[in-house]
Amino acid sequence: MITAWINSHLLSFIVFAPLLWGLALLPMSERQAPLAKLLGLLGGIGVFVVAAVQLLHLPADPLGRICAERFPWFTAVGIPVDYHLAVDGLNLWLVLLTTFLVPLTLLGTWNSIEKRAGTAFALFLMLETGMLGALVAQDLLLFYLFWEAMLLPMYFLIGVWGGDERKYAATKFVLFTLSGSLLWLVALLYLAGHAGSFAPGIMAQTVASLPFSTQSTLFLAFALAFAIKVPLFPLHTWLPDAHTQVPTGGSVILAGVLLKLGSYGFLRFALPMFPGAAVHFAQLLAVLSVAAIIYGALVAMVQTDIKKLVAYSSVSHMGFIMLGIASMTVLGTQGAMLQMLNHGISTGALFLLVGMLYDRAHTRRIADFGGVALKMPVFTAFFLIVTLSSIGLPLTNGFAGEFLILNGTYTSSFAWGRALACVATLGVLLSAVYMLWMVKRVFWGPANAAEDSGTAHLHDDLNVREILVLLPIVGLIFWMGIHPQTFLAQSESQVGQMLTQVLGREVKR
Amino acid sequence: MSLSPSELSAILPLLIPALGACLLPIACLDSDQASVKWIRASMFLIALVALTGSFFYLTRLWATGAQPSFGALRMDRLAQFGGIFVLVAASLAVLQLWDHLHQEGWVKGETLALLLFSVVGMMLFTATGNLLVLFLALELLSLPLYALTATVRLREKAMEGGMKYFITGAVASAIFLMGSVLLYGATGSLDIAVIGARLAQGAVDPIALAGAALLLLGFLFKMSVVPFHQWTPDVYEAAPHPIAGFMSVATKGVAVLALMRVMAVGLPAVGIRMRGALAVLAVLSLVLGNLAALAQTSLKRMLAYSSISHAGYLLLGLVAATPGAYAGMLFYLLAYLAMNMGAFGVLSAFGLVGDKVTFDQLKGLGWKRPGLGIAVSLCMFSLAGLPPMAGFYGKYMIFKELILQGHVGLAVVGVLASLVSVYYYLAVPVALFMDKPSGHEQREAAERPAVLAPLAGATVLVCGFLVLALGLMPGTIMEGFARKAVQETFQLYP
Amino acid sequence: MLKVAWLIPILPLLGAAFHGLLGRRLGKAAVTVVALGCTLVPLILAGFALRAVQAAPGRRIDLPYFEWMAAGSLHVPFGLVLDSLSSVMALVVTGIGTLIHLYSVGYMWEEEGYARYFCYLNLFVFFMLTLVLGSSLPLLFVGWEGVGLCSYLLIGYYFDTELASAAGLKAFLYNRVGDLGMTMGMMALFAAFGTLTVGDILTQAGRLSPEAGFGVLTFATLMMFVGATGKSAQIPLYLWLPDAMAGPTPVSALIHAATMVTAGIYLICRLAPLFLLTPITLTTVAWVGGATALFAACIGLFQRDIKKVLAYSTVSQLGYMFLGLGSAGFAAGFLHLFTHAWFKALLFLGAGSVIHAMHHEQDLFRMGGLRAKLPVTFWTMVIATLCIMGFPGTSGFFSKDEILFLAWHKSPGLYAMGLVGAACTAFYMWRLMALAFWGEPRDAHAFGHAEESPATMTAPLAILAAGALLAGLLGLPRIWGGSFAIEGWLEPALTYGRPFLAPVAEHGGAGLAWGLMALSTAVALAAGIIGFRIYRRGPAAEELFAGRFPAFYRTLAGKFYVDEAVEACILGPVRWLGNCLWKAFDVILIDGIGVNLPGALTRAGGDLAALAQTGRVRNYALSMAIGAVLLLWFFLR
Repeated sequence: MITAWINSHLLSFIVFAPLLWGLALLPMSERQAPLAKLLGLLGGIGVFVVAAVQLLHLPADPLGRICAERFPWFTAVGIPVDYHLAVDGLNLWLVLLTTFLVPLTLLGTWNSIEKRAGTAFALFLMLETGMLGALVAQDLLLFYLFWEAMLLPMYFLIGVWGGDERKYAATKFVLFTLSGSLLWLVALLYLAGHAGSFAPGIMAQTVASLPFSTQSTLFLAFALAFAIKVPLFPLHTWLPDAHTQVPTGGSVILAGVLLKLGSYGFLRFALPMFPGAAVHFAQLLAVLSVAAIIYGALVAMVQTDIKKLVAYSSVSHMGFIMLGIASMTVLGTQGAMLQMLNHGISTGALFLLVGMLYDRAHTRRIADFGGVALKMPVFTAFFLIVTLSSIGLPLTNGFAGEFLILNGTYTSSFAWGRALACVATLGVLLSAVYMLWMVKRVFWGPANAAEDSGTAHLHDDLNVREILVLLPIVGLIFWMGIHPQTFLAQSESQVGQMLTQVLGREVKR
Repeated sequence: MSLSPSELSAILPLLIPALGACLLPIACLDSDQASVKWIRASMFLIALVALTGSFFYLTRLWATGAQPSFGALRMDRLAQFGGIFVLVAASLAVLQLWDHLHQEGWVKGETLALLLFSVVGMMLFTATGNLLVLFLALELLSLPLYALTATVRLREKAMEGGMKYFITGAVASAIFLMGSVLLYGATGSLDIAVIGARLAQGAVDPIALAGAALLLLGFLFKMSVVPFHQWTPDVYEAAPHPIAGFMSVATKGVAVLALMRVMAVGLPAVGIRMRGALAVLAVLSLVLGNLAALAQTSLKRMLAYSSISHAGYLLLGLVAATPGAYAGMLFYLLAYLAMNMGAFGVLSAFGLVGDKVTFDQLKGLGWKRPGLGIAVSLCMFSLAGLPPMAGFYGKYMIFKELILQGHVGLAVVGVLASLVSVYYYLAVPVALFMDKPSGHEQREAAERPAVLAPLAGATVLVCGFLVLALGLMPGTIMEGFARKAVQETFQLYP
Repeated sequence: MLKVAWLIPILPLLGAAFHGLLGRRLGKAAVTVVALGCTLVPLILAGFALRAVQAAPGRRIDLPYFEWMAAGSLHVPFGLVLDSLSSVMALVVTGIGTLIHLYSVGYMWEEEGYARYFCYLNLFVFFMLTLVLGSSLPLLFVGWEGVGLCSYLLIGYYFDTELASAAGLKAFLYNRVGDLGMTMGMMALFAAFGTLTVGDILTQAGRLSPEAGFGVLTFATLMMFVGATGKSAQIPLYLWLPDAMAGPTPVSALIHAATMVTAGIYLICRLAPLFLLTPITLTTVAWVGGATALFAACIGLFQRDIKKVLAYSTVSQLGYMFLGLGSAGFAAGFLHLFTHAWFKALLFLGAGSVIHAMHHEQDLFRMGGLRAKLPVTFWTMVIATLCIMGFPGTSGFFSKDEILFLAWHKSPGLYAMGLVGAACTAFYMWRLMALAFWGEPRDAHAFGHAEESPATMTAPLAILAAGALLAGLLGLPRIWGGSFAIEGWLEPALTYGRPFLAPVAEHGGAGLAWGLMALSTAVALAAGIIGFRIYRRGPAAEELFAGRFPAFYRTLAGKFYVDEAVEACILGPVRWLGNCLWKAFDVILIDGIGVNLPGALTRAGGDLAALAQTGRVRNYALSMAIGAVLLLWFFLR
């Protein structure tokens, strides 16, 4: 009976199970924290299993829909709002990535959160609901609601369990995001008022009837909200602060999923709804993306804090994703789709690893380390593998995505495509520079002899729990690198349709 | 004379609280009311019974769908809505008063009596289209409030606040009266329906315009709209927390409802001018209210300025001036009732007494009383207009109508203002959950066990729940309640 | 056999995985067996593959396996190509690879991370074979970057030393710069041909006529060449190779002499028909090659570290190969690659044996007189030296001579460069030999303990020596009655997709050939003898010389200070830029002015607004009055 219900309301179950589970954990007292953590982990795993098993075996319908749920939710002042969820080629893997990362995060940060761990775990689960909801929502108001709903748990995760600057970082995070999304809301309401509906399809038709200037304004309002989330240069400054303050798990989720929602927003809504404006602004987006790639890399190179370095590196990586989307080619967009997963896994793993180091050494300053490889060989091996995937070494996941994106950009229709692609390749070089330079200073060389250095505090190598966290990630890294088709095949047709719709002509497939 | 049933049903909702108000002083006759618990209990019981009785009567009336009237008193949907709105606010306030007054050590029956009288005035204020009755209602609701502000006499701020409120209020009422007189002079009638009809024919003469302007001022003062707002912070700070909450919610609410009625029915002819003026004042209130709120260290002053900014949002609804917008405003009021009563109630629930309640006093309390902490945080997010809280939909509906009417600029100002507001509203959860008590006395305070204030605490929890519930199913309330009230009321008028 | 062709690359990979996961538990014996097995079996398979290729039509066998990447119009298959070029190359890789694995067993036996070492080494073989056999450019790129990774790991094998880790990083990054070029090249080719499968590209290119000006093909090939300069240590990206000597010596022999550094040459040979379409690129290749050959040889003159000498000689020899390629002598270039692989590996292993005997002493000035102590090493190194200086009849003679011959026809200037380079080569090689094996032992203690290496190390030396002597026969020139067989063998691969492409035209007469050959031989012999005679008594003469021409000497010994220049002109500024962007742009401009300033202004506005709240009732009344006036005005205007 229960399974029957799950099958009929699969998406609702996947989306809201974490929330309910988290709420159930909230009242548990400090003494019961271990139990709460265990339950939280089990809940996360359960959701992942259900999602993976159910979603992967379902066939896709002609529209590429794998499964959907839809019924009218409420009508506020004349505009019907649908409760409309769907999983299709565009978001299938992102959904799975989210459900996959959350339990790993919980397991990975098992001991790093000392105080009120139960509450933190509960918040992670609530956050999962927000992200999943935003990923599967097909009705724009619903999307907006989930989008904003993600803020609060993250806000508390930063603000309560963060570092010394946590209040500044938390507030900055919320205000930055809101400043984008509130203007976006205005645009949304304007559009909804004219279309009389929040369904993207209907809205798109309305947009077509509006004058181009209005279209561009609306598109920019959408783009601003998404670009802040991505974050696209020069709107990125909230990210390093948030990352340096938020506890490890938060960083993993932030980098792994939250940022993706920005680029996903472009793919799902901004481009299909405003074809004209999107094409018109594509080049601007591409230029900003390339700027982000180079800028993020250069700044990452000179960081003194490992975590901040990784944070800036994800500015650079997200730049690649946006570049692929802006290229408006199947090649680039597919690359972006893949790169979203790659970045989620690689950078997520990097944050986990940095967290493991921090738990032992209680410092993240590069200068405090050196010769870590002597103390923690296994850890070093894992870190090296993840690093290589993050700098896009072939046969790891990083390469396929970047390669497709670069080729897509090079063959894209707008004027500077080739130049931009060539400049973007510099990012590939720079990524190697900052990552491996950091690796050299932290892991290689003689052990840091200083009394209170980080290396001095390293005694034990990874334990079983941590290895259990990392193994699936490493597995995925190689799988995605050797057989990216598993992931690309799902979205190919839908991306094609989307671009055909945007460019108004049949795209080369 | 004899009353027909319908006339009776029209006036009964007002009579019940009035009766309670008259009963209470008897309880107060006993000099040592402060010492004998059951007397105090009975006083609060009487007040509650009066309020809830009227509440249930009104809800039954609503269910029947009847819109009885008695002379100038028209208990139509809008009035019923207003009545229910006021009564809920009042009952919450009474529950919080029980705890608060005990914490202050100043339990007096007259407080409740005054409260009930003012409730009656408010209900009347929303339930009439006659300028003279409006004026009477205005006075009836204002005078008790002046006294209530000063009710806890041992606070030095109390008298001062009451005085300020009284003086400025008197000026406002005088201007209001002046306005109605001018309108009467221009149109020869006190009934807004007639006035509307008269003004509709031909050019509007300046007298009427001046009248409209002055009348408007009266309402705006009660809504504490810039520049008629300056009494607000002082008064809220002086008044007992629950009373401040009640004022911020109910007074503003009924003023909005009455103004809505007058605008839509009595002054459509001057609609353009009025909307222009309201737009300007709305922007002023949004900007000034939010900015000033940023600078506050005292929680109550912050809430006072926030209530000013919310007056601005409500005015935006009047600027749009469509049935949709009106319905949106009604929804907004309900949300505002929940979140603001919660925000003020938490002060009593945490047992923070005195004139000045600072953010520092909240530090770490959230972990001491998680339920309250979460509930009040929800209220704050709602005040900030973050989905999926009720406050979001209030703004959502108003902004939507505004944009549809082509006032995109105003909408942008609105969202930017709410962006600013996020900052100071989030300061509350920050203090509750994220700040570690700093300094000696703060740490001492953190050591002390949490004050137990069951009733106030309950109200806060209820408010938090309401905020979330309204946010998750806005449609039902919106369609079944707010929209109906607007439509069916204005159908009554030709 | 073709059914199991995929085992050729996969076996080493499995080996690497085995060492990485189980190596440390199962002990050195198991590691040794697996490591050797995982290169020996591919060697045998490669032998069979060569036979199969010989039989196959067009000497080419395509083995597609599965689709690797596909998006939009891009389809990248995961497949192998066996043709005359790749099969020979695979043979070289596995053959020399096996020998060096064998040698390493002895050389590394005492080392701590024995398993780790062989893990890297097998992994390298896997990537190298992928590079060689890959059917599409991206797949080739897999090997391309993979070997870079392995060299990074192996150079940094002694990761707990600052020197090694720095050298590893440097190697990887310089290679990455090259890979950048390769990536751009691939993008350009994809844009031009819509595919990245080598076969398809060449087939399409076959229909094109040579490019006149600087077109897309020229761009693509130039970028490919940039990639080649990175991998094969040509100007300007040669700087990493000398530092790479920080790795264990067998690694230097395998990766930094015989196989990996020749990947650039291999790449160009793979795309030979494409390069033939772009004369501009070819000329560039030739000149860069020639310049490198000369430049590196000059630096090699006065290095004291025995491995540094060999490193620079490698750079210069690679220069010769590019010189050959640039002169459209792909076969010649490849021949030199082939011969060089033998004698340079031999030289390194010999040097390794010396170093091993001298207890990790690498300074030539502290050696000497080892002739008697290390007979096998000595004689094999003599052979290798003769080869590299181009002694008539040895392998180096044929290959280098062919290149110089072609260079002459390209441009006498190039020939001159090559000639001088050859002279320098002979000089520093005999300098090395003299300092190491002749004269008085200058480090008595080390000399005392020095003894010949174990059989696992000397056996490879012997085999390589034989190879070094005979390898040249593949390219016996026509004037010697040979047929320059290698050209005929490679022809189908080098002209794939354009059957009508004439093989490199037969220039000039036999007389010219004889003349050039005699000249270069004479010069080389003279230089060699001079070098030997100066140094056979020890380094005294050099110190004398250094005293006579200090500036000149220091410039050469200081490698022309290129590293310092790079640090000052590129790395420094880039770091500075990063800091500026961060501290100035991010913190001040965006965060300060863009984010925090508005925030501060808002708060200031708040304080201002709060000021209006005087608390005096008369001011309240005043503001109400003003409001009233405003309202009236608004209504009555």
